[in-house]
Amino acid sequence: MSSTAKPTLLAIGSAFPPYELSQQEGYEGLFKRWYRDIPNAEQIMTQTRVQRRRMAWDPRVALASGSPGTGERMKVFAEVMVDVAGQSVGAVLESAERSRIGSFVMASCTGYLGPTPDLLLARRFALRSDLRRTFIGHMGCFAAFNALKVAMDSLAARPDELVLANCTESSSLHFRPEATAEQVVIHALFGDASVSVLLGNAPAGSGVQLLRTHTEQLYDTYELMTWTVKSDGFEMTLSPYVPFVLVEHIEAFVSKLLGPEKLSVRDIKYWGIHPGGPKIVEFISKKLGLEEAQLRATWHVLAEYGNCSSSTVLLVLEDILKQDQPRGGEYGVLMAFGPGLTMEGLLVRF
Amino acid sequence: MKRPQILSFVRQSILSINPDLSPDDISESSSLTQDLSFDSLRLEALIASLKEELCNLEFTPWYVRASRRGQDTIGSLVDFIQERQS
Repeated sequence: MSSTAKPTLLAIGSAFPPYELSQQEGYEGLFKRWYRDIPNAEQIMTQTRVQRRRMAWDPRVALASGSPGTGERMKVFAEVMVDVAGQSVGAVLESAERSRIGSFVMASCTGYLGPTPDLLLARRFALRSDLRRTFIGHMGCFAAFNALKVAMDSLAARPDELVLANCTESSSLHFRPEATAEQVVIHALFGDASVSVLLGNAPAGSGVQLLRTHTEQLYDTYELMTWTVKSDGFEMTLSPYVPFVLVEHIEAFVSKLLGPEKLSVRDIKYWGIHPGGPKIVEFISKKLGLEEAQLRATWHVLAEYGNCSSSTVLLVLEDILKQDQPRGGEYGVLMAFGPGLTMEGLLVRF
Repeated sequence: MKRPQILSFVRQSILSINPDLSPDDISESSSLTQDLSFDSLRLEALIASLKEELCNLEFTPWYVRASRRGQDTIGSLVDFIQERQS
């Protein structure tokens, strides 16, 4: 490995489950009935800025006559989402030297089965039998960073190997009919997706370089967002004060991410802020003084796919690469937030 | 600022942010989100107004308290500000 080589994104690919629902179709077909006693439910759903989402099942049909048990929901994950994950993995393996892939790390907080999906995918793509596998479960929307950090550590320990990382989420499999304003917001936001990345050590100019990460746990805020396994799916709780907490800590967080590289907010052209909800993006961008163009991909992903939990920030990165086409040497920051509250950030150089 | 002054300032801020409310709607036990229907934009305006008046006080401990159902009352907000000032 050259002394200038750094963990580098060599390929990225995404895939989506078969059902596509516009926000209006979802409202008219299911949520209007669930939330008939919630004032402004339709307005709340519109304000999320989500326009359409992909889903592993059609909730208008699957949830028409009740709330299926967790076992039934996980069965759909195994049948549908593992295949979707395979599509995104296949996309990044097309031109990869598979024998060099020494580690595979996968994150999901919405689908559990054993053997874990990474084993099934490694078998399907005939990856090495001595593959180091890690499955990251239940961490939530920021787990792409945990996957990337495992990958970066793997590349530090074994510099010549390649690492495959994947985030696959199906939040639609956890739609549950409690009628509260909090649940309207949650059910208006979340969608399904799978994103895979292939990483390896490479010199500048070979792809997006992962320069450094930063993590903060705001321990006293652990009650503000939860993800609880219930007998009929998983239940999320989300305090309306989450964006307010994050914005109060964002400047210090970004300073800790960028400071060691002697960079400031002004040096970063592209910002991929996990669109957990529109207020998080609005508050943070306002606090950091970001321009709307710097958040184009963030808003695009929220509108087109919704919040796809851990997959989301990788969808944003993929969209930045495809649509914005950053020039070599330009910097970007990816950030995501989730239960803890936990704040995760990654500085990249294109 | 003493507690009555803090309460008065919070009440005035709420009324200016939501002119549809009357002073009688606002008691110390009123929940901002549940009783006064404050959405995130109104909460943002209220917090911004308080921060401007109170030298950029950090509200995260109150957000934690306020996130428990029905606990984001005007009284709890006033108590918090008073605690932090003392």
